[in-house]
Amino acid sequence: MKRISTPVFLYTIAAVLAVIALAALSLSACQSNPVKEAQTLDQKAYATYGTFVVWEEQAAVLTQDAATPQSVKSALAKADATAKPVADHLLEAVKVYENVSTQLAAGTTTAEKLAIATADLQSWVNEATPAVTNLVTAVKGAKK
Amino acid sequence: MSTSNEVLAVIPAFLRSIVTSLGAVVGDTAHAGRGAAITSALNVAASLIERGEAGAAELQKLADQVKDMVAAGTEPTAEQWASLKARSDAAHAALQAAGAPADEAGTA
Repeated sequence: MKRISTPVFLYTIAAVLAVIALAALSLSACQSNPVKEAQTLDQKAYATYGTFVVWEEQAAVLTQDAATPQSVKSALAKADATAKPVADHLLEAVKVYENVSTQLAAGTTTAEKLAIATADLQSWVNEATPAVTNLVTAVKGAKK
Repeated sequence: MSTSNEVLAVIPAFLRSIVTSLGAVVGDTAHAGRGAAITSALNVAASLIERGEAGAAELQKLADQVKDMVAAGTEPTAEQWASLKARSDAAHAALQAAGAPADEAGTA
């Protein structure tokens, strides 16, 4: 059997593979965007929070990998610690929004209160978006 | 459109098989530290593809779930929200435990 014996050649292969892997990762990551699929505010909130959860889980898997340096694990934990409270606030805003919507349908509250809850939820969706983006960036950075 | 999606879906698995095969070859021909470094680089590439696949698959599932809601004209249910919250809490706990400096994590 012919053996590959040129380290430079092997390094080149490894480098090319890493580049291809990154390209494949970017392509696959761009394939689906749950937020773009959503139509209503509630659905957008769900898609935003769900996207956060998916990346949070990927970050958690990376931190369980023994090959991941402690500094990277700490950076991922820090990014998550920043994003998680914002995501949880979003969740609370959804609950308020849904309660007020139900009350309005039952005629026990006013449209004005729903407008306030809607604006609050929208602001948390807006706030969560950069927090999720930062987490995604941290996870992608950890993979390099 | 669907053809390009099919191609995109096949690429990661194809690359992973190449990486795995080359990893085995490099492992056979490894010399001292260089071989280990190359194997490590290949492992990183394989891990990247794996995480990319897993993340993309989960995002696709979520996108499909949202599409279904849009098609049916429904909103996310309390169970769906609770499921996401539970997953987030579990991931958060794992992340924070792993992210803590070794001396803090080990001496709690």
